[in-house]
Amino acid sequence: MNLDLVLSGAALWQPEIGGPSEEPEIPAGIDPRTVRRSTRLGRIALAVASEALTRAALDPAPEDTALVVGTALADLDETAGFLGGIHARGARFASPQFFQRSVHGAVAGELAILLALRGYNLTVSEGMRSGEAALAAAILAVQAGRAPRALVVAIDGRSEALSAALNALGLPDEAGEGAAALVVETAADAARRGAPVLAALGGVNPSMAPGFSSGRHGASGLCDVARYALGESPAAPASVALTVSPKKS
Amino acid sequence: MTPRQGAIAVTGLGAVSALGPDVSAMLDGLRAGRSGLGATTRLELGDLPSRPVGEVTTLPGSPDDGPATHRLAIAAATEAWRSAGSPAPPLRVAVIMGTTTGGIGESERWYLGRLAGEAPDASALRHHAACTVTEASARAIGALGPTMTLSTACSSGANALTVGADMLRSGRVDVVVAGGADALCLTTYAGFSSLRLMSDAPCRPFDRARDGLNLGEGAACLVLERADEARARGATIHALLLGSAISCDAHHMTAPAPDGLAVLAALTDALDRAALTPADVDYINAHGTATPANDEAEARALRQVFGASGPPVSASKSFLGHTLGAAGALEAVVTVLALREGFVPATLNTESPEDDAPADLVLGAPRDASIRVAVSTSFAFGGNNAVLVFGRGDR
Repeated sequence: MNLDLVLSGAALWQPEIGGPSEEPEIPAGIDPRTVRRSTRLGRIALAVASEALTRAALDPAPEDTALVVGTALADLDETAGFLGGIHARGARFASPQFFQRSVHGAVAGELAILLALRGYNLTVSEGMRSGEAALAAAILAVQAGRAPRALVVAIDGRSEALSAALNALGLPDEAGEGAAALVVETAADAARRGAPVLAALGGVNPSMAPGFSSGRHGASGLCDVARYALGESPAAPASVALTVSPKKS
Repeated sequence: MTPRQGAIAVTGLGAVSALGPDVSAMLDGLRAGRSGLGATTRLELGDLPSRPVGEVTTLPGSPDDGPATHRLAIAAATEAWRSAGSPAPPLRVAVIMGTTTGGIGESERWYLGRLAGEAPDASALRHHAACTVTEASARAIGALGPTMTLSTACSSGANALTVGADMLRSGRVDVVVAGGADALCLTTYAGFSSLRLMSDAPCRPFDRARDGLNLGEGAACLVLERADEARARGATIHALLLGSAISCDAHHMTAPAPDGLAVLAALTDALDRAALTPADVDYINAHGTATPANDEAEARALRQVFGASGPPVSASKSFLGHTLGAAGALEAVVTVLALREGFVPATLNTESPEDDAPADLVLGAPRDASIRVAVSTSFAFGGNNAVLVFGRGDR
């Protein structure tokens, strides 16, 4: 089935590349105690996801909302913390907390718990194209009837381990990070709910996205999509067929 | 009955596992009731005790192909692609792989060496990202269509099949090579050890005395095509993927939700998409990790859907170990072989099943059976649940 899809919500967090990186605030309505054990990336993902859902008038999101997360590198601070513990104390005393937070699906798992999303849940890791690939997976899921709508989140952060690795490889370290969230649903559903339509979504071709780092790693493309959908940029990235709605104010 | 959405044909199979280098070796091992679990010969364990693992004793390919995960993936993708007869032009072929480790086995050596003040070779870091596993697989078979890498921990390989089926139904491509790959490494060995989820003995799924899982490694790929087109080209159809579903517990990062409701939802949704009922299912290839919590939650969900008796059930991790991102794909191949060859694989090591274990848990030796419909389940960190429903290829 080929459904007309729209973006009804969008949000982004993109601190200046190389500059200071202030965490976004925990959204109103989220008890800070529930995120006290969250990772930094988990809190950032929650902030952009909540903002996009609120913009889409989906607060709270129904539990059958699909959640698709794109990340190039997952949380390298957690991986480094895990390996650092092994180095310092031995593998016998490795940290289970660092381990479970180091997996690529950690942000999707944590967001699902915090937002009570019990439907389709996927983490896509497609290098610098991770955000676009996550959007493509979300479109497939909605078109296939696996969920009535999808929350798509792209996120990648800075880390000392990444900087060290890039240096070791002789690659530039742009020390950028970012996160973006989009809400994808059918035009009919958005109209029925009276939700705002930020843009019509024609499709996405991740292979057209740049395969090199533009500073925010796997989150770069979706940050650009969100900026365009929110009217903060004059053009959508070439990889995404997106038409800003004339209704958008 | 016709699936609600078009059936997908499985026209190629590839698998490298602790049972051997290809699908034929896997089938032989399953038929013989021969476990692939044993002591590691390759893994550097640090100060951790040696526990049984499902190791691929001779890695396929060469170090030039990349880290172990990549070599396993390339071998499985190549076997699957060749067995399907290379059925489409490169631009119409997608490759979708699940993995949890990617190249971490090499990266961890570099990072630990750096912490130790050494100057380790960094070149292997180019293979760190998960997507490099998929790219290597696509290059090996000459595929030029979309690639997608899924990393939903232990359900990754199963989810690759669901996404692949949806991509085929969308018309975006004509063939999908979908599967999963993961190699043993210190990070996962120490990680599961830290969670106290590993057994010191060969795992005993659904046993009263079960005390944890055994890690494993391997890769599996399935070549998927739209069934009507596969029939039209005269392809060998090993099985049909009739339905599938993904759900999330939204409960805990590493522990399954005790109520099993999200697993129940995935089972129901997958059967509904296949236009089948629980009574139609002749065999269940369970996730069956042999951890106390997982098996308890899975047994409860299976009982809720299939009733107190239910169809025959087996847990292949007693042969293969828990291969993480590869598990869902390897167990999909086991399930397809069961359908194609007409037998229910055994569960090894289990001697005294729990009271609430599946009633017809097939123990010790395989059982000949005509299977028309089979279900494979996979569950993962993050509460991610995946269910696949296969039917016989001649349906």
